[in-house]
Amino acid sequence: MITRITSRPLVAITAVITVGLLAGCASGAAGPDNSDKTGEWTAAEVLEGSDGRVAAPLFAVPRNVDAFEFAFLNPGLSVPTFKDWQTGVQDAADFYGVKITQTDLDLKYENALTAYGTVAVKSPVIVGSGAGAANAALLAGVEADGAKLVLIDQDLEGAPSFGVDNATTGEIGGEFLSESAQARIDDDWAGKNVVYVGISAASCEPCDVRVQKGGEVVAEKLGLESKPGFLLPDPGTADQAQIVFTDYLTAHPNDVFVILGFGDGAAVGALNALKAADRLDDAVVGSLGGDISGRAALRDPSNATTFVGALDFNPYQEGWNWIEAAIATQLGESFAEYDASTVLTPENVDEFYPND
Amino acid sequence: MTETEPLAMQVHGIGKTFGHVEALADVSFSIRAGEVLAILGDNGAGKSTLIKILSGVYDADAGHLEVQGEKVDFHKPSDASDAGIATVYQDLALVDTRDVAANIFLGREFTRGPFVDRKRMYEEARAEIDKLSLKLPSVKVAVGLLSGGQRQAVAIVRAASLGSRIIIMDEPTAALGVTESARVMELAERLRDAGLAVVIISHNLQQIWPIADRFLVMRLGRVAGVREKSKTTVDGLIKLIMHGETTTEGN
Amino acid sequence: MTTIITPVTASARRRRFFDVALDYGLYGTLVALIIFFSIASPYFLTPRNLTNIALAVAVTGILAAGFTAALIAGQVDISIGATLGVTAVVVATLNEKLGVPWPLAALIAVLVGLIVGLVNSLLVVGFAINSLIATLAMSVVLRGAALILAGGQTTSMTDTGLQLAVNSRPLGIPTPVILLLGVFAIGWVLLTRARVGFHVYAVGANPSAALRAGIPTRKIFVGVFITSGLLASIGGLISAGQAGGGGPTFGDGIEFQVLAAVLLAGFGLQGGTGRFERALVGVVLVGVLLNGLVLLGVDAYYQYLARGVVFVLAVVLAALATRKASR
Repeated sequence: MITRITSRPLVAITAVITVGLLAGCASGAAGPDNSDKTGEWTAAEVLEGSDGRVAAPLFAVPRNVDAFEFAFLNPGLSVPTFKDWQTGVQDAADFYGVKITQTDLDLKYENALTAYGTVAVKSPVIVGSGAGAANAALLAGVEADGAKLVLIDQDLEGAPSFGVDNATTGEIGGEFLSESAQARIDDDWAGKNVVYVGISAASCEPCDVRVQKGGEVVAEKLGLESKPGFLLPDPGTADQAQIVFTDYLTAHPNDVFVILGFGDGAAVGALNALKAADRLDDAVVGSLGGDISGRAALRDPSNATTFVGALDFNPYQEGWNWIEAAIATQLGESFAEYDASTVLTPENVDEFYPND
Repeated sequence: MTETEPLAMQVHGIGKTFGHVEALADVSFSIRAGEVLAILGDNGAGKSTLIKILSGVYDADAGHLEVQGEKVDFHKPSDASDAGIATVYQDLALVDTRDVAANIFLGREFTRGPFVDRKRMYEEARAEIDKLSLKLPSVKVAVGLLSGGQRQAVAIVRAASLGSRIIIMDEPTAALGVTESARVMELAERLRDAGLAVVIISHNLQQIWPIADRFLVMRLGRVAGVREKSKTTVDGLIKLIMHGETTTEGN
Repeated sequence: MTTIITPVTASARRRRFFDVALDYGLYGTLVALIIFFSIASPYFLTPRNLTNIALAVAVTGILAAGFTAALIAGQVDISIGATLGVTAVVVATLNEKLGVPWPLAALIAVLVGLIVGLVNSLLVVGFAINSLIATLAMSVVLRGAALILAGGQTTSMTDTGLQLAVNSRPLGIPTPVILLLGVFAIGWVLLTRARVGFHVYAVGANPSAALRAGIPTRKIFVGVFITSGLLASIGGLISAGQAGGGGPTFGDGIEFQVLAAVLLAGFGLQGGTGRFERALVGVVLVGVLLNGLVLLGVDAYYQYLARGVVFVLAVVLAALATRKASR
């Protein structure tokens, strides 16, 4: 009697797992075949094929490209930028007709090598990852199998890469912030103490580089004497950034701020803190990323004079471009540089993202 | 049977205070080999505290103990068991998830090199059980699966197998039904017949009367009286428990 | 005159069925998964993939061995993830920034685990703090220490010595797998055959009974915490070798994976019970599940769901195990 009672839930759960697995299996696609096509995909076709999201392909992919086997180790789908990478990678693979296996590292970068081991049974010729998730051991493992590693947003010796360079993006952020700040200093901020605040995130080294570089540019352009301040909300989400920055505001009742967020969440958090303290006029805020939350903040009229710009990383395009870079690398060709220099502003955001 | 038997243990003037509470005062009596001594008393009379001092869990604040005529000092339970005193507590101190043999030899398992000699454990456990003419179906069963009476038996076998001269049992039949209680009492008698000194704390006078040889009555932390069975009655003991020494009915 | 004591009761027979059901549940599910994935994917039952599964679970498994030993003694050690992280940071920092040769750096880093174990046992045994609370507090402290030591960054080791050692395959078997099997073999022998193992189970099941039987309970507690800490450190070394460096976030959250695998394997949280080798089976089961899902191209969110279902299963089994163990 007891045996029956205990085995029933086990049978039920096994059934659920089986159904779930079968449902998930249905998401696997059949193999593509491009052999009867000619010529190369044009930028206009790519723009249309990506629903207007990819304006700049990195490589003109031949239409008859082989259905190569690729693999991508996504750093962590819980981060919107990386989620966009995954979607971009998958859409591009479907568009160009190559095979892709993607797996999620869930921010546990120390598992990169073993995650590669799992996908390696399919013998991918190009393996991708980025944003700090890859490491020398992974590179060694990939190359030991005769494959290559191509990265997004990460410099690793021996692996081709593209994407946003943290230092460069930080500098761009510092530039457009300085411009807006200078205008204010010439105007209502005259005589006030101007402070740079970089909002990074705990345990995010690339994030630190960005806001640090931005701080250097701002300090130079505005002739600031005080050392730039850095805040490290943990994690770097909007709500945590708001909490941390609120305390910072309380500690600096008379200063005005030039704020750079490593990402849109950090900037939005700072904006909310300023709003709550009724000090929107005491700051100019910029962010690096341009994701949906940043664009929403740009469109918000109450932020109009405070949120001056978001550098557009366009992670979906990065994902899409990765497939192009992988194909190029596999064909022994080179690919173009990634251009992340568009600064989204309240005025132009609808032009670049009409479909939000 | 009594005065002629050697003294297993002498208790001299034991006292114990917890904060402001005097749990025991001036407790003196003797324990003899080959006899069953019943310790009686109402709740709060100090029976448990006395047992804990005899078994080395507590240090006495006053008085001393003698085992086989020699003064002893107990600071921890192993001191008492080293001196030949085995205690079976109310909670039995059994490890339910381990088998009978493992429990009997808990802490003194037989080894072959660094490994436990399970075969020998089972054999020796069987031997100890047979010594007491007990019937336990298997020594490989987890103790937690046994009935109350069987668990009590295992605890007693462990105490007996320690080679002790004195076995103290704290309310051994408290959680048992009529039949199993009777069997535990039979076991106690068998231990007595084997020459051990058996001390049983009980609040069930009816149950302990048939097998006890002497009765030590505690009241409010002191010895209310010690009676030979031949020289007292159940009613007499009840009066002693409730009211203390009022008559000169004595030892 | 012989005494006949009442025979083993019907409830005892019922409880033996519980044990059997749990056994079948665990091994049965594993076998069922293996069969399913073998049929569903041509890649699954290949030597390479099976080796990969073993590699993927090696670190979790080694940590699970230590965690289980402590659990059997009635203690919960959830500082293992943070200990792993600190060890990885220490070995990378010593080697890269202070130029210490990697074998020595590794040795020093492993001492970290030893010290953590000692501190844990001091808190639990010395100050009588509940082990869950004490090790939780330690894990926070250790994470902070790792972040400070590492400056919030992952330190890459340009000296590939540790990397090569960890990724080597003596006789074709990856080193972490050899370590995993070795740890479980030694642990199994100690816990099921050696005297000290008997005592660990006794202490976990009934510490006061063990104490009264003369078993040195304090020493046992210190021993299991040190074991857990040391194994977590070894896990940290393997992680550092697999990543070519050490970062303060390494091992973050791994204690939950270990807990899920151990609960799945039928260990109750109250201690004193459970077959040690099942911890390895639990870890392997989760590893097989995740590996199979990736090979089948299952959407990442379904993978999360599967993990969640496995955890629910684990919790249910743990409840059954606890009910079985209590009288």
